[in-house]
Amino acid sequence: MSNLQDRTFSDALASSRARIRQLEREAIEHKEDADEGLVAHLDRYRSLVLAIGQVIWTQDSKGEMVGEQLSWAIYTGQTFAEYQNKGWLDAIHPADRASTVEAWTRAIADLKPYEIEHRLRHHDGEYRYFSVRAVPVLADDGSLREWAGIHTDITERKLTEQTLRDGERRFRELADSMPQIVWAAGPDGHFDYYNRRWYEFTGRPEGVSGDESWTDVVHPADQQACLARWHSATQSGDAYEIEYRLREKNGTYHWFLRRALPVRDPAGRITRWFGTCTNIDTVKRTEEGLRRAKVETDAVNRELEAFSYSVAHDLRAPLRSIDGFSQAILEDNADQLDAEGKSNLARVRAAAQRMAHLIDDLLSLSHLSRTELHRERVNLSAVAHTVGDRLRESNPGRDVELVVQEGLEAEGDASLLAVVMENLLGNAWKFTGGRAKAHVEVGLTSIHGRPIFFVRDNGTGFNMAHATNLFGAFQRLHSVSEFPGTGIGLAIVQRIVRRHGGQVWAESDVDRGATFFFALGPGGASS
Amino acid sequence: MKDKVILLVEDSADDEALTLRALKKNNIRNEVVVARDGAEALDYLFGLGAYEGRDTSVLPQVVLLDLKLPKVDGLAVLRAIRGDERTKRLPVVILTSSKQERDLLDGYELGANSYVRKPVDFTAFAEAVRHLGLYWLVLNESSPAQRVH
Repeated sequence: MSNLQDRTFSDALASSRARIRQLEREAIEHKEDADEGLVAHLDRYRSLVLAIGQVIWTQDSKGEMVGEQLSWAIYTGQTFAEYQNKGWLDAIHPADRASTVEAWTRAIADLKPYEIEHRLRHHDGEYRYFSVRAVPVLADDGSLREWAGIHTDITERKLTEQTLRDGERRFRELADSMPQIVWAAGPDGHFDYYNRRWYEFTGRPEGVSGDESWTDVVHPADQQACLARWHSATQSGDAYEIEYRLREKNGTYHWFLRRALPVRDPAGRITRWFGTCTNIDTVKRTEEGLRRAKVETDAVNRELEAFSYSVAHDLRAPLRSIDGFSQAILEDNADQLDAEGKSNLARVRAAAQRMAHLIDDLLSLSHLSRTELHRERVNLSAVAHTVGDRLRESNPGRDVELVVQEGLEAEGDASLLAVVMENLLGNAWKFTGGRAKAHVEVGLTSIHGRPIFFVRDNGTGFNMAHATNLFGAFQRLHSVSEFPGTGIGLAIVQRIVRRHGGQVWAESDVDRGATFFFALGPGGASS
Repeated sequence: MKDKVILLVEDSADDEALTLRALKKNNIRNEVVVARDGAEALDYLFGLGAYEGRDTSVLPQVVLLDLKLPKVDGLAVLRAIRGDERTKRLPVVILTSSKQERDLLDGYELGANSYVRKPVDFTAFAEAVRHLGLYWLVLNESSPAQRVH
C-alpha cells in the first residue's frame, strides 16, 4: 500500500471520526429537538457500516481502543466496557489471537502499516473471516497520534478458496488412488500435472512435470509416433488413443494405452488437456500369446490335415493290394482252391475292406473337428425327410414308418446337421431291422425350457449299463454280424453337437427301442 | 482308336498291376504306357529324356494320373499339361486315394476331366475303370475337354 493511499485512507477515517464527533456534539447541543435528527444520522451511519460490510476502528499506541468504536460495537456487539483493556481481542477467534497480537506488536514497534487476516465474532456469535489493514496516523510533528484500522469481510472469498482447495485435494486424492497414470497439460501441450502413479512407475523426481523429458521413459521405438500424435492433437484439438511402451523405474517396459482428451471453454477454445495411461501389458501379452497360439494351432492343423491325407493315401494302398490280388487269385486260380480256401480269401478281402472303412471314418472324424462351422437357420424337418427318403431308397426291402414333426428349426451348420440326421436315422433304420412294424420318430421336446430334438425308434435298443461309452469312436454294442458298422456314427454325432456347443445323450432298454436326444446349445433351437 | 495309348502315371507297382488287370478285364485293349513318376510322364508327353524323338503330336487317348508321385507330383504334372498348347485339351483322369483327397482337389481349379477313386474293393475299382473306359474311349471321344465327374 502506497503512502499516498495510506494518507487518503487515514484522512477519510479522520474525517468520518470528526463527523461522528460533530454528530455527538450536535446531539448534545440540540438536546431538546435532537432525538429525531440524531437517531436518523446514527441510523444512516449504522446502515453505512453494515452496507459496506467493513468495520473501522482506532487504537492508541498501546493497542487500546480509546473512545467510542461505533462500527466495532455494532459488528461485534461488544459494549464499550467489553472492548476496553484489550477486551477487543475476545472478539477475535481464539486460534487467531496469537498471530494477531504478534503482527500488531511488530507493527507498533516499527510504526509501519500492517495487514493480517483473522476471524472476527459477529454479535450473533458467528465467526467470519476478515482481512485487517491498519495504518499509523501521524501528527504534524511526526509523532504517532493513533492507529486507524479497517476490517473487510472476506468470508465469501475464503469459502470459495476453501472449496477450490477441497476440490483440488479431492481431485488429487482421486487421481492418486487410481491405478492409471493421470496427467494434465496446458492448451500448448505443456505438461503441468502427473498423479502419484506416474512418479511411482517411472521413478522420476516427484513434482517434476513441466519439462519435455517425459519422452525419455517412452520406448525408443515408440517415441516418434507418440510425440507426433501428441503434437498433431495439440494442433487439431482431437481426442486420441495410442498404445505405447513406458519404462518402469526398474528398466522394464510395459504396454500402456494413452487416452488424451481436450477440455474446452464455452467459446470452444481448448483450456486444458487431460489424459490417462492405462497399463495394458497383461492384455497385450495375452493377445500376443493368443495370436502366437493361433498361429501354432493353425500350423498344427495344417500339418494334421496333410498327415491325414498322407495316411489316407498310404494306409489304403496296401489294402488295395491285399484285396485286389486276393480277388485276382479267386478269379485266376479258382480251380486250385477248395471251398475253404475261397472262403478264407473272401475273409481276407472283407477284412481289408473293413480296414479301409475304419480309415475313412477316422479321417472324417478328425476332419470334423477342424472344418469351420457356418451357422444358419436349418429346417431340420426337411433334412429328416430327405434323409428318410434316401434310406428308403437304399433299403428297398424295409418298411419303416417315419414320423417327422413339422416346423423343426435349428441354428447350426446345415451340412453338419445333415450328417447328424444321417447317422441317427441310419442307426434307427438299422436297429429296427428285426421289427415287423418299424417305427421311427423325429421331434422336439423341452427340458427346463431348453429345446431338445430327439430321434426315437422301436428297435432292438440296448442295455443302458453297457452304454457308458456309447459316443466313443469305434465303440459298438452289437456284433458286426448282427448289425454292420464301424462304430463311428455316434462319435461323429457327438462331435458335431459339441461343436455347436450342445449335448447329446440317449435313453434305451433292451428290446424297447432307443431315443437319442440332442440340444444345440442354449437358445440354439426353436420349434 | 485302338492305336492310341493310355498313359498311366503310377509309382506303385501293385496299383499298376491292378489297374492293368482292371483294364484288361474290361476289354480295354489300348497299349498302356506306364510312367513311374511325374517327370517321366512329362518326358513322354513332351518328347524329352528317354522319350526324346517321340512324335509329340501323337497324344495318349487319356492320362490316368496318380497324385502322390516321386519327383514331380500329380498336380504339377496336370498344371504342365494344361499350360502347354500341345496338351491342354488332353483328357486327364485323376486317380484319388480317398474321399478327403477328392474334397481337397475340389478346392482347386485344376482342369481335370474326371476323378476316379481307387477303391479298396477291387471289384468296385474294376467297375470304375470299366466306366472310365467306356466313357473316354467310346462315349466322349468327340469332346475330350468337357469336364465331367
